Amino acid sequence: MDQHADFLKKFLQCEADLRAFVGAIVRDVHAREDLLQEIALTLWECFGRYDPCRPFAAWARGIAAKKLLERWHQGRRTPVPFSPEAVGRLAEAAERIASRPSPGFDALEHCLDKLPEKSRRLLALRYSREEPVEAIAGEFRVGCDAIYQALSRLRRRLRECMTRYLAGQGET
Amino acid sequence: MFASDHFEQLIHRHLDQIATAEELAELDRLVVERPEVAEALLEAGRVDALLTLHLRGTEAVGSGAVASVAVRSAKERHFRGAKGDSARPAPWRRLVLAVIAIAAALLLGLGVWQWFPVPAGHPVVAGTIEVDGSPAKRVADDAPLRVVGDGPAVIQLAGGARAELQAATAAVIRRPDGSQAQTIELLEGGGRFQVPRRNDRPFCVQTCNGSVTALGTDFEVNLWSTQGKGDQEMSFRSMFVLAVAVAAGMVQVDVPGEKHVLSAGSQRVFGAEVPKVKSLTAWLPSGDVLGFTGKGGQPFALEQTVPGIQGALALTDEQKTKISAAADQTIHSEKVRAAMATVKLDPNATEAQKEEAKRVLAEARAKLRDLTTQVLTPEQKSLLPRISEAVAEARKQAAAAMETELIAGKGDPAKAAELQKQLRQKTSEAVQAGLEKLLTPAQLAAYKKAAEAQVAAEKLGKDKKPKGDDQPKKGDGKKPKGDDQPKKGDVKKPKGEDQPKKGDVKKPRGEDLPKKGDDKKPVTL
Repeated sequence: MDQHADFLKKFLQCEADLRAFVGAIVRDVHAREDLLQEIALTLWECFGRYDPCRPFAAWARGIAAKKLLERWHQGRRTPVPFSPEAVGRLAEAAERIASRPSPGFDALEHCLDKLPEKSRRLLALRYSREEPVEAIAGEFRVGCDAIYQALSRLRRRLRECMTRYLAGQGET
Repeated sequence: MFASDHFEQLIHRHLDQIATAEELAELDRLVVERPEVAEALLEAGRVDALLTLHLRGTEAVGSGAVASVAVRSAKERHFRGAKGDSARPAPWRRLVLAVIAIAAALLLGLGVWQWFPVPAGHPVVAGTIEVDGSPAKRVADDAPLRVVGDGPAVIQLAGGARAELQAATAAVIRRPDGSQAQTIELLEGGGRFQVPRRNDRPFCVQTCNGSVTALGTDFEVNLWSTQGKGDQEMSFRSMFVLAVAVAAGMVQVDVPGEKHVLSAGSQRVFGAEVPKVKSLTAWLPSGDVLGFTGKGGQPFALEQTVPGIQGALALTDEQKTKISAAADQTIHSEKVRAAMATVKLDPNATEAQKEEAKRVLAEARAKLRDLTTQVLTPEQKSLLPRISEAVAEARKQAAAAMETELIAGKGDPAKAAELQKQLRQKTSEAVQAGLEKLLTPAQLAAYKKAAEAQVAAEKLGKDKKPKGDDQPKKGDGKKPKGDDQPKKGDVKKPKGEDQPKKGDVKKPRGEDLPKKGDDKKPVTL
């Protein structure tokens, strides 16, 4: 496989985890996507220096962490709200959980299918259409707090469901 | 010690960007002091990322999978435009375009500036393709093509799309009604199709079992024929199985009476149910099932080189029925179909799993051969090796007769190709002569009838095997239905504006919605 295809394959394999790592820290969607783009391009530019003996995902995460710290050191606390020490702890935690089976789209789809229609609609408004919470609250005719709490419950429920789904797969 | 739901609450408030500065500072401290909080934040972030990617139509999968191409429907773009978003592309889209730019440039080995529609004739950028039996460097629309040689061939399509077709694949590239849509009519074999995001023309792979439509994606389609390929594949009826694996993006698969949407990481097999054969009269089992052998005495579908040869056995309808039933028990069983899926499609299958799958297949094939042997008469059983030997001897004689010329022509590819053509002709004549000496008049007549049927079918670009009218035919009656097909710019049309893109809403229940008491206004959602 030539270098180009090799990079692409490796990058795309770890993109979800990279996105999860950066997304756990940077919540502003525009800032996050800008940062991810910058990380992607940096990874490509530095691919020649990548040591194939090392897992690509870990290498990519290291570069992502450096980018996050650069932003932090630039004095703009937003959009990186965590200290360098916290970012370092998160990178270590990401390394620990990288070896665990991680739920993918099949687990998510399985768990989304179990949700009631309105729950799926809420998630679609929040994630697909990126509606502001105020607009979503208006559509459901409840307050913003109710929407936040519902989203929080849904994410927890999905995480539990996906964990069970993975465990169920491991048993068979 | 904080209760876990306290830091969970902080995490979710952070994810929803409603955490105060104090709350963020507290979360920061907890992340530093407690590893489980850091892990919980990452796990929550992962769910959030999966939701973002999945519901927004961007695709990225965890370790072990390949490809990530972001896709957004024209409707979403319109929606964002209507909201007064700035002309600057959405950030996620800029990332995607950056990745796609890298991807297309890397994979195609071309500069991004080369993304413009391919002029008449699609260039073959790798491998060897024949059109009408002759090697071709460009493939025109509507020209039947076949990948020759042992390796795949890559064709560059309009708009930067790319088709990597496996060896022995037969297909036709079409542009229905001169439209911008691109269609690959897959007759046999399979391939991987990469359709860049910029390619806003619908891209469809059509097979006799169904069609696969995609926009901005990377997916693989395989049309498994139970035709023997001479490599120990058991061929039987004209059963085609459509196997689709999606590496990135989403595809819509249309099979008769059903529509399926597959997202990245998905793979499914369609049409694996063996079609009920209405009449076995004109149908013939494949040669390797019956017991013809090729090189090294291995089971071989001899009709690949001697069309219609199975006809010489003059099988009765009763025999065909029994052989058909035996196939249902063996190579068409659920266990074997699942094994085929593992071998063919699963990118994450381990070597041990693949070996096990191959073992299951081999076992099924061997059992089918045994059962078929029990159905044949002693006369038929004795005829099989005699036919195999006669064909082998005829080949040997033809090759010996042309040996000197073949050696002399080795340095000249054009001459070598011509000599090979002559050798095939000589071999065919020698085989016919040998069979005429071996077979009875009735057997000869049955063989010739079966041969005519097979040749006619092949000529029309249909199955290679002699088939009855009741067999599924390539491209026949399985075309996309039309109105329910994704149209240009609208492939990802959600079922409702605010529904998740994936799947149908199935089971309404009543949980996890804002509950009474969460807000001052009691509302049931």
